[in-house]
Amino acid sequence: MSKSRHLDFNVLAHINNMQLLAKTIVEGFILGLHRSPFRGFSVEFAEYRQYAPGDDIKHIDWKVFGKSDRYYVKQFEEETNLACHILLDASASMGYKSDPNGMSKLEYGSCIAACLAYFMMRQRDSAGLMIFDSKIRSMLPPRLRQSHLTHMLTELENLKPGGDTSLSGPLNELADGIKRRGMVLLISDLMDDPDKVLSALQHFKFQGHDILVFHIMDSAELTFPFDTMTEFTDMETGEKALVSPEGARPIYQEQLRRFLTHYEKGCADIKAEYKLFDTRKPLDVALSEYLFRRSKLG
Amino acid sequence: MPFLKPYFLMALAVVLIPLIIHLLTRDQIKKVAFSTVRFFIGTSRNILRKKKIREAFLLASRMLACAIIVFAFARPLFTKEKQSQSGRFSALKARAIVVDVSASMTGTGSTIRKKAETALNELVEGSDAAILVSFSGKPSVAGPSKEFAGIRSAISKLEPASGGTDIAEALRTANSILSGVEATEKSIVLISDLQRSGWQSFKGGWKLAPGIDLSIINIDPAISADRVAITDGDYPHNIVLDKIPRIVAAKIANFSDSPRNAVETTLSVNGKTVETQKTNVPAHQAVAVRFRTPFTNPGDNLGIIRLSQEDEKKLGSTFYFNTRVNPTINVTIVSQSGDNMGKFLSIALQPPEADSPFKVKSVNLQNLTAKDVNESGIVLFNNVDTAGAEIITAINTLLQRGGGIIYLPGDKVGADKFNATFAALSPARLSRIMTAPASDEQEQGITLSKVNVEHPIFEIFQKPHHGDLSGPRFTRFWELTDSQMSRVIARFSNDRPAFLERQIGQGIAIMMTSSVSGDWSNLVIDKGPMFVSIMHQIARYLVMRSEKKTDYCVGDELRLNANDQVSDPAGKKITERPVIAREPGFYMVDTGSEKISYSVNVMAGEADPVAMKQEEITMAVVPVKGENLDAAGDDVLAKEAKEKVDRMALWRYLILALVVLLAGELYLGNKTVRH
Repeated sequence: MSKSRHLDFNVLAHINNMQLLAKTIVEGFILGLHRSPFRGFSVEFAEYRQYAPGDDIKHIDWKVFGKSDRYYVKQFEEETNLACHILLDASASMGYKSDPNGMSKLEYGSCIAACLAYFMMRQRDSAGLMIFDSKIRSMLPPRLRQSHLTHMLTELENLKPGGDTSLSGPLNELADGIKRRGMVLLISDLMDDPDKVLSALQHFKFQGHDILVFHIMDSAELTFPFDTMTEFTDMETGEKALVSPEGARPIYQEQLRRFLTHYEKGCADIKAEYKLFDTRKPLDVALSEYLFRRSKLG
Repeated sequence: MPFLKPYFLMALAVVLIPLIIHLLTRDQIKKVAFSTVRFFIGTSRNILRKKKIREAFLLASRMLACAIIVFAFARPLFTKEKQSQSGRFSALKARAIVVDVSASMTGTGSTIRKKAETALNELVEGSDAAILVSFSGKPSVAGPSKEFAGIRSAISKLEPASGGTDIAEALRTANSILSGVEATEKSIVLISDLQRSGWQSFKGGWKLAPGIDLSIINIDPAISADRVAITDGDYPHNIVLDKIPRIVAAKIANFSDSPRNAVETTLSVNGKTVETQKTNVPAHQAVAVRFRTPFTNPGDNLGIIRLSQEDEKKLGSTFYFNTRVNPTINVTIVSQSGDNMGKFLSIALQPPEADSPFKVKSVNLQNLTAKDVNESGIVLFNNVDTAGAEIITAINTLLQRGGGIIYLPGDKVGADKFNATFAALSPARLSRIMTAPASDEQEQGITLSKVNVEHPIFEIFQKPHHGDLSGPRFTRFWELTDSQMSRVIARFSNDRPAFLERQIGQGIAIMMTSSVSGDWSNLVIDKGPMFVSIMHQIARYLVMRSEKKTDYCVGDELRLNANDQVSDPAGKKITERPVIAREPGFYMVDTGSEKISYSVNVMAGEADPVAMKQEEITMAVVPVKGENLDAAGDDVLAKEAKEKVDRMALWRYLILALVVLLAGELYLGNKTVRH
C-alpha cells in the first residue's frame, strides 16, 4: 500500500469515522517515512553513536564500553514528553466549502487535528484539544492515554461550525489557562483582526510555548473564482454584498494578499511558525510541518 | 428635419436590438454564502454603481449608434428657414402644380380646380410627391406630400381672389421646392391665364433647375378684351394744406380692337364727385386722364377714380387713393433788429399772392416770446446767437413734441454766445467764420458737394430741370466743432459741412453753416428759386417726415402697430395678425390717437388681359441643354445646387459621430465584462 493511496484526498474526504481517518493517514504517512530523517523520534528505534566531546556523559552506554572499550552514546532511550495544545477554530466561517464534494475548512482542520493527535499519541507526546469560536466551546487538556485520544476524536467527529470568529478572546483565555509549556497549534481561518490575533499569540509566546499557526483557507477564498454577478452572504455576520466579480476580484485579491502577508510577517516577528493550507491540498503537508517543527524542539 | 430617404427611418426599430440583447444577457445574480465579505464590502457598492453607469452608457451608446446609422442612411438635411416650407424627401416623381388665382382669373374657379385635379391624378399616390403653389399676390404652398388628401383639399378650396399676378415668383417658389425633393422625374404644371403684366417682376438671373420640366395649361382670360380699364393711378400722397389744385391722374387702357369714345372717368373725393371727364381711347392704347383739385380738408382725403360706364365691381373699373393733408404750418422767423434777411426768408416761405402751406411770422429777437415758439411748428433763427431762458425752454419743448428748428448763423452771431445759448439744441457748436480761398476763376467761393440726394430735402434735385445744386457759390461759412451727434446731409466742395441735422426728442434741428446774406453766398440773390426750394423742402421735411405709407395692393401686409384696430372695406373688424389686404377699397386703422385710411387696389395691370405666349415663359426659365450653369444668369441656380450639396453633408458628420461613439463603446466595453 503506497503513501499516496492512503493520503488520496478524495478518498479521505468520504471517511466519516475520525479515528479511522486519522489512523489511515498517519499509518500511511509513517509507512512512507522509513527513510525519513526524522526516524530518531521513534521510541522503538535504537542507535549508537560514538561519543563526542560535549555529549552528556550520563548518556554513555557503559555496558558497550565494558565490551568494546569505546564510548558510545545510546540514543533510543531518549524519551519525549511534549504537551501539544491543539486549538481548533469552529466558527461559522470555517464551515465554508466551495466544492460540495470536498471538505470544509472545519472538516479539513478537524482532520489535521485528529491526525496530529493520533500521531502525537504514537510519538508518546501528550495532546490536548481546545475548540472555540467566539468563546471556548470545549477544552480537553493534554493527556497521553488512549481513551483521551478516543475522546478527542469523538469530539472532532461531532463538531459543527457556528458562531462568530473572535480569536483573540478565547486565545487569551487559553493562554491564561495553559500552565504547562509545550507546543500550541492553532488551526483556524484567522478571520479576525490580525493585530488582535497576533497579540494573543504573543501571549502564548510569553509563556514559553512554541507556536504553530495552520491557516486554513478554501481554494475559492484564495483564488476568488467567481465569474458571475454574485450576492455574497457573510457566514458569520449575515452581511450581504452584491458583487460584480470582474470588478471586485483585483480588490479582493489585493486585500487578501495584505491579510495573509500581515499574518505571515506577524508570526515571523513573534517566531511562530505560520503555514497556509489550501483545503484541496493533501494533509501530509500538515504532518510534515509538525514533524519538522517537532524535530527543532529536540 | 427633412430627410432625403425618409423611408429608412422605419428602420429606427433597430435601436431596440441593443436593449433586447441587454435584457436577455442581464447578469443572473448568484447567491453564495461566503466565509467573509470583509475584503470587498466597502468597494462592492462603488463597483456596482460604476458598472451600472458603464452599462447604461454602453446601452445608450449602442442604441445611439444604431439610430445614427439609420439617420445616416436616411440622409438628413440641414433645415434652412427659407426652405422650411418645402421639406425634402424622396419620391419617384415630383410635381408642382402652380395655379394662378389672381384677380384676373375671376370666374374660372371650377376650370382651374379641374385642371389642377387632373394634373394631380397623373401622379401615383404614395410613391409620387405633389406640391400645390397657388398665387394671388404672394405664393402660398401646400406640400410636398405623397398623401394627396391635403393637396386635394387645397385644390378644392382654390378660388380666384383679388390679388395680383406674379407668375415668375410662383415658378421660382416651385423650382426652389422641387430642388429640395429627391425624385427621378420633376415637373411643374402652370395653370394660368399668362397675363403679361404678371411677368413684369421677372428680371432674369435664374432658371429652373436641370431636370425640371415645365408644362403650361393656358386658361382663357376671364377678363373680356373688349373693355377699358384703369391700369394705374397717380395722386399726391402727402401734402400740406393749401389751396393749390393737385393733379390726380389715371391711366385708362383700351384692350379692345376698336377705339372707345367718350369713356367717362369720375373723380370723387370724400364721397363728393369732383369731376367727370370724357376721353377717347384708341384701340390697344392707353391714355392718361388728369384731374386738378385742391385738397382742403386736413387729414385723410379718400379719393376714388371710377369708370362711370363700367360695372363698379369689375376688375380695373375703380381706383382708390388717400391723400393726406397736413394743416397749415406756423413758421416763426426770428431775426436781430436791422437784419433784412428775415424778410427774404419770410417771402421765400410765404410768397405774396400765392398760396403757401406755411404761415410765417417774423419777429425781432427782442420781441420773441415763449408763446410765439409754442404756437409754431418750426422756428427759424436767422443770424441769432442768443435767447432768453424762457425761449430756450420753449424751444426744447417744441423739439420734444416733434417740431423743427432751423439755424442760419451769419456775421452777427458770436460763436461763444451761440454755443452758450444753443449748444444743446443745435446740430453743432460754432467755432469761427471761414472765408473761402480766392480763386482765379470768374466765380468766387466754394460750392455744395457730396450732397445726400436721397435725403428728403435734396431728393427733388435729382429730377431733371429741378435745379443744379452745384450752382450756388459760398464765400464764407462757419467752421464747426462737436458735431458728432449730427448727420451731415451736404458738404461744401472743401469737405466742410454745409447742412447738418440732429434729432432732439421727437423733433429735428437743422443748421446751414453759411448765411443767406449776400455777403456770404449768392444763394438768395442769384439762385433765388433754388433758395426757395431748399427752404420749402427743409420746412416740409421738418413737418412731414413721419408720414405713413397709406397705399397698398391686394395681398400686401398692412403695416400696423400692435394695438391698432383695423376694419376692412366692408367695415368688418379684423382681429387676426398680420393683416393682409384681401379686398380693394379702404381699410380703416384706428391707432388710438388718430384714424388713418389705407387705400388698397388690385395690382396695377391686373386688368390688362394681354397674355404671353407659352414659349416666352419656357424660353425664359427652362435652361437649354448644355447651358453653362456658371454663367452670370445662373448664379442663383449654381448657388442652390451648392446649397443642396451642403445641406446633404449632414450624414458625414453623423458617420464621424458614429466612429467616435464606437471608439468610446469599445473602450467602455473592454472595461465592462458581462457574464
